[in-house]
Amino acid sequence: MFWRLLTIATMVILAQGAELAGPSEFYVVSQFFSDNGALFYYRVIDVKQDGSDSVIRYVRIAPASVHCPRLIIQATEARVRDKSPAQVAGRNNPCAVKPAALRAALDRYRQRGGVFEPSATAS
Amino acid sequence: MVQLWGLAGEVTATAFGPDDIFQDRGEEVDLALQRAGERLVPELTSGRYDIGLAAAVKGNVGTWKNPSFRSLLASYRGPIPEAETKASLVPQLLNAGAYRFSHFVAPKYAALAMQARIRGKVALHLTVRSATGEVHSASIVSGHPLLTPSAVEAARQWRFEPNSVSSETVNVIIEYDLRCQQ
Repeated sequence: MFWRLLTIATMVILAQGAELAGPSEFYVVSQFFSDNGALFYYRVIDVKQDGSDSVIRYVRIAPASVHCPRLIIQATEARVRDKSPAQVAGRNNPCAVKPAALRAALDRYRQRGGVFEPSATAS
Repeated sequence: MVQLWGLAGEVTATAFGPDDIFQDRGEEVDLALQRAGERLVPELTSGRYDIGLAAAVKGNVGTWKNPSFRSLLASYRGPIPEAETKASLVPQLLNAGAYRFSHFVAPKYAALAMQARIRGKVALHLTVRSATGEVHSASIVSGHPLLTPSAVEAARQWRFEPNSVSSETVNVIIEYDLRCQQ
């Protein structure tokens, strides 16, 4: 199946119990836009601590196919043994990002127009 | 900031491996993934992830006001077997009940036509050897050029039941539509 994503949108990370060392739990929501169906796709990654392990839930919400806009939800879960969410995040520590700076960056680089050329105008 | 772009990929690679776990998994696995997804609807629509969704949408194109998973999934109706989405892409012979075939080949939807979202009707004029039911020739009466070749190719392989058509010429219409069960 195709998987050509034209635009990868903003990711948002919400960390709870966060210290600069890393989050104790977090999730990431992504919105994608495909050039092959002009449809939006969504993914949620939810990372939680369970004892000394991390439990990662991964969800995809998508049209059933490029010809069928009816939504499907796919989900799976995995356990990463003896790793905290902070360790799972590794060097991509969301807690190291200042929220105000993140918001400012998102606003600055926000997609303001369509990703395709506007309709041609005859003259 | 740059590092955040790598976060989702790194997490999923650590937990699920480098390949996209949702793509090309086969019908059975796909259905299991969908059933697992269906069980998460209450949690998804609880509002828990809406702040993240709103921020993601804000950074993208579109005019979705007050984004929420509840509104996104308002029309969600449960898993769809892959076969069902594929079956809906098979072009249909209209008024099929009027004919009796001893051999019928369904036309294929050309990939390019599907990708270009081309749909419509193809009308064919068939000449049939009445005694044997064989299709002697199939000519295009009307239809989109990206749809007609597969209609002709299929029709040439059809065989009507002997003496089941009253005339040696038969006009048929094949409908190409891109739809799914709503």
